[in-house]
Amino acid sequence: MKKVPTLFTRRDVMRKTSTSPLILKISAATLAFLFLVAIFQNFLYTVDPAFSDLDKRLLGPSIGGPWLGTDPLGQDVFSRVIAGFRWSLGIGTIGTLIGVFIGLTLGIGAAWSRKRMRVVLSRIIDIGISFPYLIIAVTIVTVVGRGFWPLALTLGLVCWPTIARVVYAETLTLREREFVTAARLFGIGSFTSIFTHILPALRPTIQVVTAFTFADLLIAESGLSFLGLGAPLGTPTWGNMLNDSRTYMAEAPWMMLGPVIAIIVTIFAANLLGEGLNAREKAKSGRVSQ
Amino acid sequence: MKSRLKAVRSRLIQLIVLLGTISTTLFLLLRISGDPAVLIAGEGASPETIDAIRADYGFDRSLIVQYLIFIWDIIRLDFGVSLVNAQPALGFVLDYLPSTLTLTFLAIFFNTILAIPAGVWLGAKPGQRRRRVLSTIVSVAQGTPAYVIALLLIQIFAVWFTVLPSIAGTGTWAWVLPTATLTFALSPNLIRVVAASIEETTAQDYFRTAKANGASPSVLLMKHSLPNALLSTTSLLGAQFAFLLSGALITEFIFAWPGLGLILVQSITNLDFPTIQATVFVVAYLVFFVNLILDQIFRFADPRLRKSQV
Amino acid sequence: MHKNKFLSLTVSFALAALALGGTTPAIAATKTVTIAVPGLPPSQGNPFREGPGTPGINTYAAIFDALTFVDTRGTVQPRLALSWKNTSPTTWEFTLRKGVKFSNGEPFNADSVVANIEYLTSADGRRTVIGGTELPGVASAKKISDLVVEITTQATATSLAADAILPAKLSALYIVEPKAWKEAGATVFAEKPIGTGPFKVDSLTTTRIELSAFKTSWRKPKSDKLVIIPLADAAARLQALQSGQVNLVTSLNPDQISAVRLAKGTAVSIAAPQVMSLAFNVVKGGPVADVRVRQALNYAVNKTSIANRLLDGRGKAATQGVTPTVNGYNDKVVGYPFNPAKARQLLAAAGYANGLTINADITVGSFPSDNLIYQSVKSDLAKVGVTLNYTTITFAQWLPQYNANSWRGEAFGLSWNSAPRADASRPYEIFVCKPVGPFYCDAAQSALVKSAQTEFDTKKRLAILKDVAVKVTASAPALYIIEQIDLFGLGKGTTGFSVTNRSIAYENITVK
Repeated sequence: MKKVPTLFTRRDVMRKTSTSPLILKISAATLAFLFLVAIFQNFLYTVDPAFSDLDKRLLGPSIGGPWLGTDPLGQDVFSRVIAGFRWSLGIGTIGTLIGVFIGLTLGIGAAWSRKRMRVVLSRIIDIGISFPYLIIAVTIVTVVGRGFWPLALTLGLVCWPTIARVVYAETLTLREREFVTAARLFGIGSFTSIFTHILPALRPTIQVVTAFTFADLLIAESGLSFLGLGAPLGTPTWGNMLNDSRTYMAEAPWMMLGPVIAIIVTIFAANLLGEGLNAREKAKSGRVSQ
Repeated sequence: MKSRLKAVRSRLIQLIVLLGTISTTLFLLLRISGDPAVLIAGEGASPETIDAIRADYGFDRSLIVQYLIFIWDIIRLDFGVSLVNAQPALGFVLDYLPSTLTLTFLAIFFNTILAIPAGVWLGAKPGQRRRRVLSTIVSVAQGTPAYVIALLLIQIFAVWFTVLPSIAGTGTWAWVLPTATLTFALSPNLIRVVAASIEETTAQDYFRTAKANGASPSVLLMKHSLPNALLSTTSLLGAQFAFLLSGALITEFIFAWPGLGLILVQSITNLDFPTIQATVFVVAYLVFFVNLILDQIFRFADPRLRKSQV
Repeated sequence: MHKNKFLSLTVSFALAALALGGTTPAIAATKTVTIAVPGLPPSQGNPFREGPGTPGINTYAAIFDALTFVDTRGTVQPRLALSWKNTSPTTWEFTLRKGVKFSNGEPFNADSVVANIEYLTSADGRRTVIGGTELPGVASAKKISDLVVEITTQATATSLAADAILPAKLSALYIVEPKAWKEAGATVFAEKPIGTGPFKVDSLTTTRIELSAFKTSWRKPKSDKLVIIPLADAAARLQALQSGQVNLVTSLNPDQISAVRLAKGTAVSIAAPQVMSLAFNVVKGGPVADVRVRQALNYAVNKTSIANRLLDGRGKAATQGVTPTVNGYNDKVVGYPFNPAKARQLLAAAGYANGLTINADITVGSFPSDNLIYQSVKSDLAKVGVTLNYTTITFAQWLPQYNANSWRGEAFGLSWNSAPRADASRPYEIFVCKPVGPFYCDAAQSALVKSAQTEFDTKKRLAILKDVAVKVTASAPALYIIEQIDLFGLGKGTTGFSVTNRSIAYENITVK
């Protein structure tokens, strides 16, 4: 959950300049690989992740398998870490898509509309930023119920304000650019203008924001699971596995290792990708994104 | 002067809309979640008992009437009594505010004194190998959830070395681990922002010119880069403050910290509507207030913004 | 309590900057026992509003007493009442203990009992769990002399007027000090409760209860202070014990025993008079309305393996809805020993040869290892082709659905609790043909249970209950899983700990 602050400060993080294209490639490749793991996980299991054998509980890691040991139910930790990719990346992706969609709509809408409407929309964005969304998310999940979709939708619905703010600021600048003003002079309609000029010009910003939001949501998701408000009981997710591992920190430390590494690597790759994209954008435009 | 008043008025409207939205959202969320009367009545209660309680609390009236009463009560800052312990909800929540606020300020304080020097050092000469190492560590730390840090700190300092307490209420020492957790959780972001900002200013022309003219690099750093970096720091600190008030939930949960986060988790578990509403209200109000103050600081610190109107 | 003298310099200097004004705990002459529990009673110090059992019992056992006390073997023992006799089918005479005082100095006598029962039977009192659910049959109390009180029972919607086990049932009624209760009112009293127990409350919040010794209590305590803190998380409780921050923890998980021993502590496990189960919503219909399906699910789970592996052999496979120490347990009932072949056969006979899906709402965290046990049940059922989907809910969400039987799914988590009266009548009375929103009902069984209450011949009464056990178990209204345990962790130097029928004997516990 600690990554949440960056939601507020995308613009500051985006100032970071010293990221080489190589890192961009590596992080993109890593993320792509992780997504492939999530999609083709069924072929990677050494054991069915739901298969439990109480006679084989809390076995330590070994080269002959179980590679990462077993948990208190005798389930294979490695297989469960792999299975966790689908849940975590799935929620991260869907939540991010929803957040980006709402953020884009509101951000562009606020920057593009006329005086009064603009005030209203930009105030909505301001209010959204003051909204104690983690608390709201916790309340929604408790009331609506735990599960993949409630969680993905909730996270999507609470993560948009920062995206909207960045998009709003960016669109405002673009709006004043010559090519957009010219288009307007030639009588090209708002929608056409948004689709032909604004959206393509916003693309780099959106890419960066998407990568960062994705990283934030991964942490938020595992945090909610950790509080017991995420995945249903027994679902192989990193947050659940971490939560379960706490009791066994002394006895079976390997239970913690797999999910921790998976979380850190994924978030690290997503953050790096965001930074890399940002650096590339700046190298291209030769200006500091504000 | 006139514009000042206008700004204040616009802010006030914003606050009212914010609190109104939150109250309505919560009202709807919580009322669709189930019948609180059944909950108060307890296991195996007879239907008569439940009806009597429903009438007592006014849950038998129509949703619209309930909503209007609810809003009117909120305007008078009356959140009702906690369904669980029958204390006035707002007073109950405010009792726990100081401990969360103190933890928040401590975390912000240590975060600042740790991250700003680290960020400056990192941003001054970004290419260096040893700075790259720190940079990588910061990146990894950024991807580590706060609760993992908390668990490790507890295991090391409370269990293995038994030098620090891991639960609240055991005196001054009990503040160390939660503060450390939050500090470690927040600082990677701050380090990055400071470093990026320093890096940016050192790359600018006037800085290079001054340096070429023989100005001491460290003096330049202090005089030009640092103030600039501090400005961008302020906005992040504000966000972190807001995050801590509402989001230190997990840290408070792990350390059994008697603060807003713990109260919230408890009241959600018990579906204690008045307490949930009062907590969210207090947090939203504080977050808004902090954002307002930060806006003013910005306006004051940044000459460009000082000139512009709201 | 922790040793901060080894604290490294680095941390010290960071702390010096804090100067928070708190004090580091000195090695004090006063003996303070600190205990960590999963949760404090939500109703705070109002014992009428808490159901018997945890979380209330961990706090109230230090502050209050009831007239009677039921021991682990189900025998009724004297507490605030020394003896009792049955003067007519519906009246009982209780002779009270002499010289007992409440912690505010008021004497305990027949008037105190009458005042408590007057509240219990008032409109407000009937709305509480104790007045409404546990003791609806208590009608009134009359003072006979200063130390003798007569209590009358009445018929309720579900029971007849005579009650053969009223003394056992009264162990659920903690006696509060009537003057303070009247003057303060229920809400304020809840923050400053007064009883006859070994400790009196100094301060009580939702995050901490501090008590000090009530030196003239009839249960004189051996330590000076008692602090009760809630730590919802089992791992946090263990860490608090390992690091010496608390002296006693409740609701440990069997997998934590080795860690407790490693920290030179002791783990104490006691059979709880509770059977963990997944109850079937038989009334609603669907596949579980077929008794063969319910039996098949019972056969499909390897309960013995769960008991041995997940409860360290301390819990036992459940055979029926009550546990062996409880009055009315039938040792001839073998229940449903693990037999997956038979389970498949029964499922096929019921028309589910290709499997079926069961949805269950459960709460976790109330029993040692309950989350693991539920998962293991799921995995066993999967092996006979039954898909079990869990929805985890909080107790606050469980309760309304239980009361109204408005479950969306076919099953729900249910604990068959015989405490505090340690009598099989409790779960059977409450669960078979529940008057509002029953999940399982068999009129003949229900009539049998009712007849047990009015049977004053103990032998005959137990015979009826044993017969009930045979019949109810045969119709399998629940997937009986495990006879649960209570597991306590004692820190190094904690002595005098004992627990009887879930009540900790706080008066004897002390620390070095």
